[in-house]
Formats: sequence, C-alpha cells, structure tokens
Amino acid sequence: MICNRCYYNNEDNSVFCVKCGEKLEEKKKVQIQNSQVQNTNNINTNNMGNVPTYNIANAIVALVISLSCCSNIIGIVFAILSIVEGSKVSQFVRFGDMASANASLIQAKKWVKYAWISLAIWVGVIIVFYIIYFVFIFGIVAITEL
Amino acid sequence: MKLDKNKKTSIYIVISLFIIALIGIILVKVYNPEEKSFFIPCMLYKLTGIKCPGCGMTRSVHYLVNGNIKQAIWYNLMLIPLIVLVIYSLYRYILFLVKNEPIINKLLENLLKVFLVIIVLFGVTRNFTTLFY
Repeated sequence: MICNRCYYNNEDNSVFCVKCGEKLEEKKKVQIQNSQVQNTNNINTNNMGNVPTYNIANAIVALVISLSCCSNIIGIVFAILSIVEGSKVSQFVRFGDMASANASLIQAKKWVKYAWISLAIWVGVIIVFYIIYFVFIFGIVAITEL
Repeated sequence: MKLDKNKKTSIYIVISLFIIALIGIILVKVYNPEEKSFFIPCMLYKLTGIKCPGCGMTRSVHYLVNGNIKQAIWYNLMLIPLIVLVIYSLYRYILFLVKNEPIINKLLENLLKVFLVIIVLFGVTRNFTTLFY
C-alpha cells in the first residue's frame, strides 16, 4: 500500500507507514482544487493531486541575490545544489518513482533553506557592522563635544 | 483581505526590507560612495580583483537617485533589469495579499530564469570589457 505522504511502498497489511509513520489509508486524500483555500506557501500542485513538484523560482531568487551580494559563495553553492536536486524531482515523477521524487524534493528544500540562512547571516553581519560603526562615530562626536 | 499568520509574517518581512532599502537610498543620495568610505566594498573585488555581478551597485544607485541615469547604467548594467524585476515581484506580492494568487506565476518564473542567465553572463563579461564597469 502506497503511503499518501511519502509515497513509500509498504506491505499491504501495514497499518502505519514504516518510513514516515503516517497512517495508511485505502483511498488517496481528496485534493482541494479551489484556489481560494489553497495553501499560501506557494507549493505548485498540478491537478494530478499529491504529485511532488519542485518550486525552482525560490532557489533562483536565492541564487540571484547571492550573486549580487559580493558573490556570497556559500549561498551560491547551496542554491545550485538545490536546483540540481530539484531537477531530479520531475524526472522521478516521470518514471513513477514517487518515493525518490519526494525524497529529492525534501533534500532540495533543505538546500534552498540553507542558502537563505547563509544570506540572512551575511545581511545580519553587515547590519550589525553598520550599527556598531554609526554608534561608534556618534559616540565619539558626543564625547568630544562634551 | 484575509490576513492569516503566513501573510502577516510576510508583511512584516516586506516592510522591514522596505525600510532598510529606504535608509540605504537616503544614505546613498546624500553621500557619494566614491568619496565617503563607510559603504561596504565588494569583498571579492578587494581580495581578487574580480568584479562580481553586484559590483558598482551602490555607486549606480547613487547616480540614479541624483538624476544621472547614464552613469548609473554604466556602473552596473543590471540596475534596470533588477528594478523591473523588483517592481513586477511587488505587483505579484500585492496580488497574493489581495486575491490569494501564488506569488510566482509562469511569467515571473521565466523572467527569473532569463535574469539568472543574463546576470551570470554579465558577471563574466564585465571583467573582460571596458564598455561598462
């Protein structure tokens, strides 16, 4: 019986998925097609239902920002890793191997999350640097005028 | 306009980015990055002499907000494509807040892919030509 969450192929008499723990059900979950109720975290689902789909735009934005900000190498690397892993998702789906597709999707999402984290750290360091710089300058001006 | 937790967080993030950008633009309007040195230099350029795609962006914005568009484009060619991309993304974001449409549609995704290719080509060629900085 195929798990509805991770698509792992369990034994037919299993009650729970041995991979992710989800309770196995006979029928697939009914997909709500109405875009009004659609999940707002921008995961593209086509009308085939629970097909894992990789959102490449997220990684591209991370990659473009990393390139523009002094070529933040770490961000670039993670974004590229994400795009490479993400390209495997549609290939697996085409061959019907949903479990591997889902695994690749999870890994690709992790990579792009790391890219964003490294960008956030980079920006955070710069902001802290500026705050310290300006506090220092104003501090010196204030002290010398007293 | 329904405001669930996701949308609220996104609004906070966008407003913070907006404020940071505004402060940056005001700083860059008042001070010339070529004279005042408290602006961040490009680390890659300082260490290796190679210009990354973001090099010259601060100077470019300075000339843009002071009216000198020709100099602005010369310092960083990607300025105009970037502005177009940002404006369109903001438009998609507003649609997302009001109509609940996904932010990234087919057009934006293709624009991003094209922009990625252009920015990589730009990053390479700018180190071999004197037509632009």
